[in-house]
This record gives sequence, C-alpha cells and structure tokens, in this order.
Amino acid sequence: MILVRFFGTLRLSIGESRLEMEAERIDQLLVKINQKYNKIGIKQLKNAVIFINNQNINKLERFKSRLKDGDEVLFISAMGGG
Amino acid sequence: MFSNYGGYMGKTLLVNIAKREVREYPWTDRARELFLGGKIMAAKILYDNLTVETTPFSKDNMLVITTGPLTGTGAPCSSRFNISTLSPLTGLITSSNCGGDFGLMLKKAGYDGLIITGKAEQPLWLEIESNHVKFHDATDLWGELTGKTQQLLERKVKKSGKLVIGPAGENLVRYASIFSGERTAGRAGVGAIMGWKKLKAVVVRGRERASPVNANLMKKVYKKWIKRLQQHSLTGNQLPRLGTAGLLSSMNAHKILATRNFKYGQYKDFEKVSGEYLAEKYLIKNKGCTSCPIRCGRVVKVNGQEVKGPELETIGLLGPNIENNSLKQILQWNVLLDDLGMDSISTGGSIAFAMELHEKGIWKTGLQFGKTDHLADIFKDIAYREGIGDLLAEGTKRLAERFGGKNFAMHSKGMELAAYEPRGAVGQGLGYAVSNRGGCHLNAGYLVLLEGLSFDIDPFTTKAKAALVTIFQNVMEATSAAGSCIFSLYSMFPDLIISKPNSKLTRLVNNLLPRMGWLVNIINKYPTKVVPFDLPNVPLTRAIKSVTGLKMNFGKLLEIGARGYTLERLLNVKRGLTALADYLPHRLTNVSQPSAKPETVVPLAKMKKEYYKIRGWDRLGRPTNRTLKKLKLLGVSK
Repeated sequence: MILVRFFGTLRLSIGESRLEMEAERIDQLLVKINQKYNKIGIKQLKNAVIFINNQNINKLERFKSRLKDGDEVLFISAMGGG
Repeated sequence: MFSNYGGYMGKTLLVNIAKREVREYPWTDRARELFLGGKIMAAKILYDNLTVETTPFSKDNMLVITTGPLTGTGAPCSSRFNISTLSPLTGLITSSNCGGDFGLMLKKAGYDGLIITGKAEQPLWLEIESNHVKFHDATDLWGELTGKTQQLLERKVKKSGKLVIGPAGENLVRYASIFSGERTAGRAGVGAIMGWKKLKAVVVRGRERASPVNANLMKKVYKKWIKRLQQHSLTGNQLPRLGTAGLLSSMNAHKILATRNFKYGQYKDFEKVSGEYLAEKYLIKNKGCTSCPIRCGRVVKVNGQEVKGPELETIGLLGPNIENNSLKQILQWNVLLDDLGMDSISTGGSIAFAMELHEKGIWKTGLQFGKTDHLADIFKDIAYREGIGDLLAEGTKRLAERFGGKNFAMHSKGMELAAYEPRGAVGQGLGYAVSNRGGCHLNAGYLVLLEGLSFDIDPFTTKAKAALVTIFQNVMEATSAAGSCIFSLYSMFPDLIISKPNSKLTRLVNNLLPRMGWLVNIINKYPTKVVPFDLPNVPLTRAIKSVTGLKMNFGKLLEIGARGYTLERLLNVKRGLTALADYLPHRLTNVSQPSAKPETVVPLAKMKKEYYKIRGWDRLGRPTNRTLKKLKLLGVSK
C-alpha cells in the first residue's frame, strides 16, 4: 500500500488529507486518484509538487518514478507567502 | 513643504514630545526622487539625525513613521506604512512594515510622515487631525492591553487610525511591537522605543487626499494589476485560501521548518499545526487590509469567539520550534501576545533557546520542549517582566551573553531568526546573516522562495545565491518604500512556472537560474542601463509613474532599492557594525541537521565574500566611496 497525502489548496479541493492506494508508478497513482475523485483532474495532480519519501520526483524518474509498498507520496500545490 | 509630485501630501511632521514642540520636517522633491518614501525615507531621516552616541533608549532616538507615494491611493496591497528606529534588540536601524489603515489615515491627516523624538515625563497619547496636534494625558490608558486601548481611543476619536503599545512596550520588552487595528509592526522592538518615550498611542484622522498626477492612467494600471493578482495562483488562490500558514507543510517537506530550536528541519506533528488544518478546523473567513485584493488575513473561531488567526511565523516559532502540536493553543497565544503587545517570532525564539538551555542544564527554568501548558503565564511574565520573564524579555542574544549557549542561540545581529531553517536553503541563510535588521526572513531577501517553496533551484549550492539575494533585497526594499506590500510582488513570477512545477520549462528555469548569476549581477551593477523600461509583470513601476509623475522604470526601482539598502548599511557601519556582525549561529554554519541527507550547513563565508563584492562593499562590509558615489549617497549627511 502507498500512503498518499495532500497539502495546500489541492487538499481543500479534494477534501481528504490522506488515503491508501496501490500503484507501481506515480503515473498510475495519478490515474487512480483521478478515478476516485473525478473533480480532480490528472493535469491538476501533475501540477503539484510531488515527493516520494522526502524526494522530489523531479530528482527521481518524474512521473515514471517507481513506488513500493510502504512508500509515502506527498502532493503539494503551489506555495508562496511568508 | 509642497511637492510637485503626485501621491505625496508634501508634509512631514516632527514632534518633540518632551518639549511638546511641533514643526515641519524639511523633505524636498529631490529627496523624493532619490529615496521615494517609506523605509528608505526613514533611513535617510535617521542617518541625518542620529549621532554615533545615540542609543535605542535615549531621547535622541527617533520613531520615524512613513508612508509611500502609493499609500492611500487605492493601489492594490498599498495601505502599508513603515516604522523605523534604532532597535533595542540589535542597537542598529530597524524598519517594521505594517498593513491596516494607519498609513492611509496619516495621509488623510495631511502628512507623508511623522517623526517622534524626545521622551515625555508622563504617559501621553497624540492626536493628529488635519494639521493640528494635541497632546493628551495617557495615565488612564497606561497598563491597558492593545485591544482595549484601541477601543477606548475609538470612543475618543471616532473613525481614526491608531498606533498603540501594550504592557510589553511599556515595560521595555526588547521585542515589543506596535499595533494598528489587528495589524502589527512586529519585529525588532519598535514598541519598546514607544514605551520608553512614554508614548502610549498615536491617533490620526482627517479628510485630505493624495492626488495622483494622472488619475485615468492610474485607474487603468490598478485595474490590470488587481486582475493580475487575482488570476495568479499564489495571490489569487493559495494566499486567500490558506493564508501564510499554508506554507508550513511545504517547508516541512523541504526540511526547512525550524524545529526544536532549529536543531531539525522537519517536525513529526507538522500536520496538526498546518495551514490546511487551520483552514479545515478553525477558519471562519479571510480578511484583508484596505485596498488589498489578496486578503491573506485569517479570522478563526476558538473557544466560541471569532478572533484574528496566526501567521505562518507565529505558528512556526510557537509550534514546531518548541515542539508544540496544539494549534488551538497557538490561536489563543496569538491573541494574547497581540494584546500584551509583543512579537511572536522573538517570543518563540527566546523561549526555544531557554528550553534548550534548560535541557542542557545551563539555565534551569523548567521550560521544556513539548511541555507548553503553562506558557501563557510565561508570556505574561515576559510582558510584565516578572520572574524569569524579566530575563526572557531581553531576547536570545542577551540570554546567551549571560548564561552561555552562543552556538545554539538562534539570532542574527541580536534578532531572533524567523521560521525558515536555512541549512536546507543556503541563500536564505546568507540573507539572514547580512540583513540590515538582523534575523528577518524578508529583509534577508526571501530567497527561500526560489530554493524550494515556489521554484526549485538547488537549495544547497552557493552559485548565484549572493547575486539573487542582492536583487531580491533591492526590489523588496523599493516596493516597501513605495507603500506596497511585498506580497504584491508574487505576481512578478510567471504563473506558467509557479503553477507547473514539473513542466519542462520550469525544470529548465530551475536548472538555469544558478548558472545565471553573472547575468543577475550585470543587472545588479547597471540596473538603469540594462532594464531602463517597465516589465510587463511588474505593474508597480507604472503605478508609481501614474501616481507621482516620477521618472520610473524597473532599473530605477532596483537602483532606489540598492540605495536604500546601502544607506541602512551605512548607518549601521557608522554605529560600529563590521563584517563580524553578519553572522549566523554555529549550529547553522558548522553542524548539519541530525540524520539529514545530504549533510549540509550554510557555507556563509564564501557567499558573504561574494555578496560584499556585488554590493560594492569592502571586505569589512563597508560600502566603498565608489559605491556611495554611484548610488548618489556620497556626502549623504546634510
């Protein structure tokens, strides 16, 4: 199982803070989240900053980054302001 | 003193509260061209009037309250005003920027600025209305909380703008703040200076208006600017919906969330104090300053009452940094600290330091990380200087001088650091160290925005960081001087990049930026030659032109910012500041976060050297004569 957590305005739009899913890659995970929450498009998910176990996917294999049981994936929407 | 430029009232008031004398302070159109207004105007006034012998708590120290030319003209995010003085925390110049409506009301009363000097024998409050100044006895207000004080004053002078202090200011807590409505000139102890002067409050009211030189053009520029802010993902979506607290989760993910007195960059319970949790559990509505379309302020409900919600920094310093996972507690403390009249950042920083001193057996106070039930009493003790509160009221630097623990006393130049842990954002670390007012995330240049929050450039490399810190500091300096909130600058960054962090373009920009230091430095060196035009994504310069009639473009804006930043530096150097004061605690420069990978520290010495070179300062951090001449600051003193 993959632990998926949402932050930023994305979380307010989804109305969930976390869920558990099975997926082997990030792109598969995006499709599964979209199937569960129709109002959140894949494009919207792709425009989040995505971390797998504290690593930004852009430093891994981006949307083809592989997932394994027990991984934690964070989706964080655009941020600024302090 | 009349001004030919629009937007200005053309008058600045000097009030000696010891002698109860009032006169106009000379401020010319030439000075407006060079210094614009706000914090840069204030720096010039302080530079011209303070001597080397002037100490923060002395009758010659001035409180300089200034507006910018856009203040009160209806420009988006431009109800700001500035308070500058010598800080009782740092002994150096500080500037504290504030929203609310005081700046607007000061202009309505007929003034661009108000300078207060001297010390009253008895507590007093000032009433300024349409060119009349009245001195009122404030004995009955002395001791009142900030909220109650403002209520009582509103009964006396209806529909007025107010500046007040609370018990913390009266009792000279070195990080006491000044309050205006629900907004705060929070940092560096400006409230203690007001308290030392026995000035409880300033109330302003009037019916005058600042006229723009080209009202039609101004309206067109403002309309486009507002649209731009409303359509941008940060200013039109994230900040209105989550406020500044929305950043906390991202900071935690990037390991830059100050935790346990900056020992760590992540907090296991961050979600319990996050902006998302705040929005889901407590938020009633958002709230904004006058003329602000962003509306980043929060109204929350706690214990059945609707009150002001906390900013990110308050949550960071009174949450993760003391290992407190109770957001409800932070909401209550936020209101209490405002009422007592003190800065939540320095309060949280000082308490975190005391907790670590206790943990190490250096100063046994009973203050412990994660044990926070009794902290409300400690805050009151600080404000009234009772028990250990009397020492905590002195701030982290002085506690370290008394008890030791300098290596983990988390301040710069004597002011406690904000909530960004810079070992995971080294450009932010450079900014903290060289900042004119000490450990402030904004005066630092806020490079953390590029180092993970909105962009994703390499946060550990030193490449281009000095160049980027310089240009960010300059543009923020000038924006504040204009009377605008620096949040209005977010729309400067293309939404195409901010809202698509994984796109090819964004990744390219993130990869290229650290290699573009040379280009940024050409702009830093020759701003008026390289960018002698307006940028489509910076409406500010067009707004300044349409309101004032000043010759303005992005290059000139940067030049004014550089002039302001250097002038503040010059004042600090005159007061004995050297490169040694551009400092970060040992914990940040020599010790990596436990179990962090990669193991990083802030390579300050290397970046600092480069920064001085870019600024045109010598190896001791002093602006050279050549730099002063270039910035038209040579012989700046009258």
